[in-house]
Amino acid sequence: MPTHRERVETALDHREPDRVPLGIWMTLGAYKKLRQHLGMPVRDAYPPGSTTWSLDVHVEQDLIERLELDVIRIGSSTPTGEGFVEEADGCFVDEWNIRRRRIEFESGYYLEIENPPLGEAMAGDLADYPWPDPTADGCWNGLEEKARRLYRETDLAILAQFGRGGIYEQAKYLRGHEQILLDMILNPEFVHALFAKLCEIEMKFNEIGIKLIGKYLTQVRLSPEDLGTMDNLQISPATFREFILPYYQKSFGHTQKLLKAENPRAKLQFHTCGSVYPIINDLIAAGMEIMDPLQPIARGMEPARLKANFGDRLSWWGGIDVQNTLPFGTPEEVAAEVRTRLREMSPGGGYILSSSHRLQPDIPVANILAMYDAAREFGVYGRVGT
Amino acid sequence: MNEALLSRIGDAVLRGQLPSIENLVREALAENIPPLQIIQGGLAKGMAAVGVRFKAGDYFLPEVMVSAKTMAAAVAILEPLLESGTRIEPLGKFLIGTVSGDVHDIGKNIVSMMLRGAGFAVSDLGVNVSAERFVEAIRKERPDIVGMCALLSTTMPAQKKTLEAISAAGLRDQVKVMVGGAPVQAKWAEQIGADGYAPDAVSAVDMAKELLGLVSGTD
Repeated sequence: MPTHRERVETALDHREPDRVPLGIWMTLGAYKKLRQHLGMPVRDAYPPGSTTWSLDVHVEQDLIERLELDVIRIGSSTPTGEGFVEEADGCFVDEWNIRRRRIEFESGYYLEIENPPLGEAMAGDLADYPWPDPTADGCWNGLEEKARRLYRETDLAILAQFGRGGIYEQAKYLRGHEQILLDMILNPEFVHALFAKLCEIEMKFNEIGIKLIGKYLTQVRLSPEDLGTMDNLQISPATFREFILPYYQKSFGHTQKLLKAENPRAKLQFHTCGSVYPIINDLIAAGMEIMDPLQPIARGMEPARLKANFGDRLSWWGGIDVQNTLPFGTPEEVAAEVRTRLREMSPGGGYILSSSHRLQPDIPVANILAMYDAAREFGVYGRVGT
Repeated sequence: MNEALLSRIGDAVLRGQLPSIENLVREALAENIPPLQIIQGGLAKGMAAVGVRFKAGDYFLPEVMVSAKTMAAAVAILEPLLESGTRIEPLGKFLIGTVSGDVHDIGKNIVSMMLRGAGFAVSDLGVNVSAERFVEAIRKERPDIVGMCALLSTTMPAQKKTLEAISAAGLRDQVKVMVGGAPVQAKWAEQIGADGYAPDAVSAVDMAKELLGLVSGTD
């Protein structure tokens, strides 16, 4: 039997290992609920996960082993090494100086932006903005030791994310989503000035992270960038190619070159939600090797279609629907979706099964367990899906 | 002559020519074209064309937003000039909001823009709107239709709760209720007892018209 790491590496080299590898991505709220259910110790506080605002958590080794998953996620921290700073007025401020408020829903809460800090800014204002400093010690404290230990003492594949915001995505938070979209028509110089600055920060985070621990990694995940809606791209392919792609080409290319120098077998993972079919070729050409997530209900992103058209050049992470099946389906429906996805995506490798986005606290624990039980049972090569 | 100018105004909305719309509107007024005719024969037609392109996948979010901004700039000039007798009779009153626990509003705003462009009076309650605020606003504003948006699966239950609160307040028979948002599907709308669901902003306008009996249903 291969090690977890070999299983993932084989799949990402587009060959079939013994079974389809498994990954996990979840919010803190969902994580605490799952640990509690499994009778595992739950801490009061956890360090910030991949992005501060999203209340992600880096799922710990004990849970990864308990569920027999193959990938463990690690990454940079904030420049102070802490999560949000809570202010007297109840706002939470992240490392981008973005103020957020706690907004409760039935099963938990998110921290949502109060006022985009660059909403009224002009290009000339960007130089004075308090940008997060990727060279700050707080971002990297303990990371080398952690990666080395995981690499030597476990056989898990290690996925790291170093960037803490990204380019288009972080611009939405800093400028306001509607405003940055309007800017692409009404104020193109500002868009380029902001994206150039954010690209520089993203590249620096990845450069430092890869030099520090690249040799231990199987996957590097770039900062997430949501380019799609459920139905279509948010912006036209032409607008994407004018405003965003040049920065991706620069950032992906730089990061990939550094990564391959440390570990030629490691792969670059890129996250965008939504319906983005028309630009997949652009993303592949820029350096995307793993597309994250596989979101089965976005229009035109049918898993079998993606596999047929890009399967020789691209791998996927995700696939099990967090918008309907996991929160509202039965464990049987979850298992049925897992079997379908495995049949569509497993041939020839190139697939890591996980939820199609973060597991959120609205998802019943029974459905999370049903997903991984079914994936282990039906994901065995030679008899996939049966 | 008037037709040509109105068509240029519609075209300016379609192309999102925000800097030139004011001059075009002033030109039309100087030609003594009635404000109502400028709105209905020019701006609204332009916005309808935007909807067609958005639905077809030829227009994306920036184009729709700039077109809506262009139309709004023109309406701001024209509305004060409408004589009381020529006030536009809206197709219907639409109350819209993003449900409790959810602050996403781009989808909701685009639905509002399309509804306004089609001739609905839209009252937008904003985001994170509690069931109580929906109920209160229905009592006060007496809309024909209430639209509830949820952009997260975690806030879909708030659509159900809001519907229950509307029923408990005895208002369910007075309004039609529509639901929408990224994770929302027709099955969910049916399950919670909403009257309508639309997968996108243009379909939302069609559904609103259908619920008010303004067009026959297409199936």
